[in-house]
Amino acid sequence: MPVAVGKPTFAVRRFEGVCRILEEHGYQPSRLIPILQAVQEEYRYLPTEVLTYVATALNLPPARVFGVASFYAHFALAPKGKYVIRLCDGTACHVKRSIPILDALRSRLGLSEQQKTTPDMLFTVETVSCLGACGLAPVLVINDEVHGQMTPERAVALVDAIITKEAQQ
Amino acid sequence: MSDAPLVNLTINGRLIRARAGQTVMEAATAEGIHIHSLCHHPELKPEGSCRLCLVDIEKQRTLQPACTFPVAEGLVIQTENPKITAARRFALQMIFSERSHYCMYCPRSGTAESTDCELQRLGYKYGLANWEYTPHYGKDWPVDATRKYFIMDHSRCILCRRCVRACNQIAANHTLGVGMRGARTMIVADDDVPFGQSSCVSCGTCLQVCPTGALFDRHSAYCGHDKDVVQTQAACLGCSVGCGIQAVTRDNQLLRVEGDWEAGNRGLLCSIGRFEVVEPKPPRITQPLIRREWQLVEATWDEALAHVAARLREAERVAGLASPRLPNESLAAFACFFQEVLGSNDVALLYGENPPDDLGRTATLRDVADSDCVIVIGGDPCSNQKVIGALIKRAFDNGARLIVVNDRPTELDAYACVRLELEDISHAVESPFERLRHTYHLRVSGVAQLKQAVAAAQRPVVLYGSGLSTTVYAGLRVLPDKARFVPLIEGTNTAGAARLGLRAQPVHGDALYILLGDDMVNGHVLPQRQFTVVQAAYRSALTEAADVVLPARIWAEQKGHVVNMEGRTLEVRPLLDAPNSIQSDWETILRLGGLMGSALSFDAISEMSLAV
Ligand code: SF4
Ligand code: SF4
Ligand code: SF4
Ligand code: FES
Repeated sequence: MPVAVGKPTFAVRRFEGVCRILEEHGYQPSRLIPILQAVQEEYRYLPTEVLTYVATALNLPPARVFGVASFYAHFALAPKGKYVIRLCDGTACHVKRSIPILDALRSRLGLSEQQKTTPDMLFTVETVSCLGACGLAPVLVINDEVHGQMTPERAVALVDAIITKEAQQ
Repeated sequence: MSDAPLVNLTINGRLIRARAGQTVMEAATAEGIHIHSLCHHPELKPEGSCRLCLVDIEKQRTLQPACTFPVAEGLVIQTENPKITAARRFALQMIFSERSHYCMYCPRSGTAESTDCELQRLGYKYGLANWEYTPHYGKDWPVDATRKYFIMDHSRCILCRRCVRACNQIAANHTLGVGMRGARTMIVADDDVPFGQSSCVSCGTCLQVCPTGALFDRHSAYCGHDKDVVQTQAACLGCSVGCGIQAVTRDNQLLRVEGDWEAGNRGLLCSIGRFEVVEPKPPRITQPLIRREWQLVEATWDEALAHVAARLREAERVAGLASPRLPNESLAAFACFFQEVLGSNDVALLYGENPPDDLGRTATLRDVADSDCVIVIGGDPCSNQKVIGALIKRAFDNGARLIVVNDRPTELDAYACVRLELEDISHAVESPFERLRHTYHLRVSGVAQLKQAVAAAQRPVVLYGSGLSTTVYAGLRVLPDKARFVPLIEGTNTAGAARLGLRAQPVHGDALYILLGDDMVNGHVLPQRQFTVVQAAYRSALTEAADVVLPARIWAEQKGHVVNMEGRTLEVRPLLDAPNSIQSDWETILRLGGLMGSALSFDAISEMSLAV
């Protein structure tokens, strides 16, 4: 019997969330970036297996999908903490001394350039190139909450407040 | 492209003509004007990432990369001036400071005259004696040595992406990509797995195009610069594709094999042709061996040949088996020997099936790659004629429709828009009405589908395997004239052998003469005979069971011709000198003929092989 084959068929692992997202985007390779954005919403980061799955489902080489996922700072290839602290290190924030804030946050949480997430998965500290809020420099964003005119002390106080809140829950 | 309108432009004060759509680099190269480049490779689509080819074009605000800038009427271009030199030095400074170019350890490094590294050559040319920017020196750039045949040292990578383009555009394997961004950019395989665990098929195309020592061959590294070695254009004898190769030799050693850009395979080779040929082989047979009291012991040529002649004369009937890897000349001598000297026609090939070649209109390798509709019937090119497999995938990438007809699953199934079974195309010549009574409507429509696909295409190519039923071949004969055919022949020179009347079939004699050359047919079980003589280059299960073993030359020592799947006669060039006293097959056979009292002559043999 003739079998019509549309796309490469691969052993399929069940990733229901991804499947739904791919479905919504009509399996369009040209919609790779919105698909990855939606997948990251779902999983909070882009696990390698999911990237491979997306690649095969869209009939794209895995290297290409990895290339896109690793190119954009927005995409995370490793799991992030519950609270993602993004410190702006754009020109304005940098001259307004953002680095001491970074150092203070890292030493408070025991993090470094290499290790960006605390072992209890509560905090991730990273820098971004510009948050577009230069008037408030130096700025940091905790999840979606913007905090302007930061100092190392105020930043650490914010973190401490979260830790206390989490401990109560 | 060739009928694109002509445009006039001026390069370095010289008026030249080019075709619209060409780049400045292409137009200049065609006129013999050299423009420095690094990321550009004539066989790859330009990407313009290195900025070494910057040229000064009048009325352009800034310097422009020649490799991507399209020609236009009236362009006035300078390829060298102080502004360009400064820009190129700047680009080189940036590249050199980006990673650890610790040249003294690199296999490609050399002096200004001897270096094989395109980056180092430009460094010498532009007098880069020191770093003007703080280098990222000493940073831990990884070395990935997980591939069997070649190594990637990321510290020497200049991110020109030639390898990525070669993997995508030439090998059509899509293993390589670019990961991360900015200073952290890396060449990655699949989703950033070690190369050895990736989907890489070791075709080595990326290795061949890398301009630096980032990708380097394990076997030939540090064995000599390009100026120390000899490069010979030849053919790969790994399978019936007969890919064009550039054999790199030095001191009578085969160092490396590269794909010939000029040949039909356009630089592409498979792992067999590029790497396995230089892998270690079983011990070489350099002296004739005669079995004495259960053991094979060394003998002189005279002794061994006299022994063979005597035993063959005694035998009731002598059978012959030859490897289809041998050139026409060896096979012709063998066939002649059986016909003229032994008066036997009990001679055949060890293996190798040749599908019928009366379908005519043979397609070339280029036709396969440029086809817009590829039909593969039987056979499995991705495993047995790998370069053909890659050319089919390349055609697919360029939008060709692929139809696969096979009873077994093959790698190409994943690319097929229609997948049929052989049964579906087995009823072409019968009346559809009659068939309808017996079978499904669909079965009859198989050939109709193929016909339709061929008719709808501009450049349809049909590749067909051996051992299919006559009704399938009959089905192929009724395809529209537009279709071009490629038989997927098993065995390198099976087509040449067939023209000499040799094909794979059982032989019966009580004595057996096996002409093996350097073929490795381990796993072949042959019934025990009264007497067996094997003419072979390497020790194997077959030689260990023989009564007499005669040395033979390997492929790279032979001279002669083979016929490939396109039906083209390819020249087999001696790349290496055979060890002392090892003659070509036909010389050994002539001597044996002489001993057996026949006047078998060189002329008869060459006449026969020329007729092929
Ligand atoms: S490995 Fe070689 S070909 Fe690939 S990007 Fe690096 S320098 Fe270029
Ligand atoms: S060896 Fe071939 S398949 Fe493997 S990465 Fe290089 S070009 Fe791609
Ligand atoms: S496809 Fe055949 S001829 Fe071409 S390189 Fe591979 S083994 Fe050699
Ligand atoms: S050769 Fe043109 S930009 Fe690299």
